Amino acid sequence: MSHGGGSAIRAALGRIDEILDLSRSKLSDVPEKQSTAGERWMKYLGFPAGVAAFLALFYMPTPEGLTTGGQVVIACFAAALVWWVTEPFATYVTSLLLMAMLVFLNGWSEDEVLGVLGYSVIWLNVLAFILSSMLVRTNLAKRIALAMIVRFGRTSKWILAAFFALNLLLAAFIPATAARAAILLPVMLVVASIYGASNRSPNNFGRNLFLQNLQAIDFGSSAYMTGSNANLIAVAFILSMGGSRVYYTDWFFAALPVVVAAMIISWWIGPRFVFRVPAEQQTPVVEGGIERMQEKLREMGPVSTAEKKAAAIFGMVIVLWVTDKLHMSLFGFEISAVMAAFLGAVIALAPKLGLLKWNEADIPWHLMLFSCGAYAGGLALNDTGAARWLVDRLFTALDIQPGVNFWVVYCIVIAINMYSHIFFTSKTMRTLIFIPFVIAIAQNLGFDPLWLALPAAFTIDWVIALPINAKPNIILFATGQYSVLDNLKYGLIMTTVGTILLIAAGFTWFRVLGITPGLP
Amino acid sequence: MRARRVMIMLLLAAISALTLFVVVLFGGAAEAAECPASAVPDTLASCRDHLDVAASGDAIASVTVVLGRVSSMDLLLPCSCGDGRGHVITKGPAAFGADASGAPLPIVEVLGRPHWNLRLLAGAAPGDTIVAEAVVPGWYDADATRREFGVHALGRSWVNSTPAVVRRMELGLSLPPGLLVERVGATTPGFNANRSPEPPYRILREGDRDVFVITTTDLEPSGRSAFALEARPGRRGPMALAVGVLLAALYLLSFRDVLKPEPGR
Repeated sequence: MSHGGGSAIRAALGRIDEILDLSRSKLSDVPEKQSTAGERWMKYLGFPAGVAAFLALFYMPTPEGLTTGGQVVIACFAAALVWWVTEPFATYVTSLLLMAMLVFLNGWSEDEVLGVLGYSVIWLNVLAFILSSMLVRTNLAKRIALAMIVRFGRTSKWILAAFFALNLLLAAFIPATAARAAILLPVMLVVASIYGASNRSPNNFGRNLFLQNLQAIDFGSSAYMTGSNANLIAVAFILSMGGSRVYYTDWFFAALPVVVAAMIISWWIGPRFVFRVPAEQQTPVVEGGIERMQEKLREMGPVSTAEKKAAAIFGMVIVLWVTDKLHMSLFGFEISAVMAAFLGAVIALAPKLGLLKWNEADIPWHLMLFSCGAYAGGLALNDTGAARWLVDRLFTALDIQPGVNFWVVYCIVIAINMYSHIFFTSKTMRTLIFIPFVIAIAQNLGFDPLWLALPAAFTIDWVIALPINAKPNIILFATGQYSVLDNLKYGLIMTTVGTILLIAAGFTWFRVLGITPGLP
Repeated sequence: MRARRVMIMLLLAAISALTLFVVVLFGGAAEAAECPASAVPDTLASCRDHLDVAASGDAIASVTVVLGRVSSMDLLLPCSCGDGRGHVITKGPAAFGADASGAPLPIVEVLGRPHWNLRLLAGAAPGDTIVAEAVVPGWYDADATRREFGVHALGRSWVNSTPAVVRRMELGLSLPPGLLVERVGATTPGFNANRSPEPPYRILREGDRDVFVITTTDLEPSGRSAFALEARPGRRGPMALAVGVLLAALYLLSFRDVLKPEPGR
């Protein structure tokens, strides 16, 4: 993979019309990527390493409390995790292999494995790409991106900051993270293109742009109690099992500073240290610079009928996403995030009325298959009880006994909850497994469950290390602008930053708010 | 004149109040007299029904009951050892009921199903524990229970046919030696891993076999506790090892070109 090459890109893509023509690099294309010597060795040794992980786990004596089916799923998932990271073959091939292994080794039934393709998460991804294609096709995405670039995009750092701010704002209104990714995806694609990044020639600006958006979409949700359903489930557990009611403002005032600090740190370290953006990628790779783009925006003229229709269709979907809590009182039934996108896609594809022909819908099916495998593995881990068993073993192995210092337990709980997301494909699943454990630990040790459970709940939306960890991760991975390894590298760095921030907040800010003990 | 009218009204009010008082007092008493003493339900503090399956396929069925509030001296509990042998009460203030000739009758049919025919002894009190056991020949037949992938389908069901609420019901199965639980199928009470934090069952290990126990609280009369399992031998065959090693070796031999830089780099 190339981390530089900005001059070449600038030379190749200097003309703005070519840059803004997204049909040149469709998401459904799977371009060949170049890799470094280290990546080639990982690729070569990755397959046998995955096989070795599988065999070791498959043949170990089945531990107490774990079903043999659960053991098979753990072995298969571990192998797939190694292959997804090292990429001896494409990620979607690993997913297909994982699904086959689950069936043939009786880890999960054939019906359940095949049924994953019909899950709402897959549908939401497909529909998000149809809506995104509509915005690209009608040039509305280009207009929004150009306006954003003209306003904030003189240098790469301000456009990256603008996306962080936009995500934080959107998270307050739209709880569905995949929906937020769908809204921003077409704009991100155009902006990336203007800075010389495409799936055929990814660069470090593109890596920063997409991975920072991934982080902002994911952990931006933890600023708000309503930022994701998993947050609400955690709050319900804290009330029902821990006996403490957490209000919206309790959550907001505690979590927002942590999220904002994390965003600022990510914005600062990303282009400087993680994926250093060279000088030639810090400004748009367009002949004539911002002035040329201003001119281009003017050339686009007034908003066309197609753009207005696209805005109306997408606006309707966004309104349905934002008003989900009011549906019951307004319509007598609830329109889920998937069905709202469904309505938008049906209108977009409708003959005469719509804006898109089927061949123009850019759906990366290889990513849907990748997604299916990831979800099949994650769901099988949950369904067989293997995930619960692993967490139970982990806390048992730590052997935390009464009398231990609260802050030792606090640091352990935050770190485990944070880093555990690497092995999960669903926040809800993670919440259902972890939060009751944390509450039980607090009760056993004689601590107020709130002291541990609420900070642990703030880690739920930190699902940033791998494309398999959350829906928006898969949507953004579809752009081909970064590798699994890139995602893991930046994700692990920010997970560590998040862990440190939450631990520091526990000692300071949360104490002031009375969430953690220490102040009278 | 006016004072007389007030007096009459006061008198009428007093008569009405007295009538109301009498109706409420005696009416309530009559209702209370009609209310049977059994309105307070019988309870069993706990009931543990366990089946311990041996390698031969024979099983030992045991039931352990801790009494709660029991108004009847007859205690008929569902039993999975209808045609078993060696029925015995090992503990507690109870004896088997008897047939017409006075011979002990450990098992009776109730609604077409076998039941432990226990009879509480005088002095049995809440908190007392009664344990009964029997041998069930041929409960497990490896050939009959074998399914796809070499797994064995096993399961148990227990319907509360007593008039008592069972505060804590534990239905268990010790799998035949060498068999481990492969997958937990349908259970009653049910469990959805995506909704509940804790399953109603536990899988314990005794030596080289699994013990499956499902717990139900406050099992009402006619309520059910049940589970279905798939089990498989704990030792795995060498097939996966052979295939895995072969594939890894083939990959290392055939994909050496992966290490070469791509053209144009």
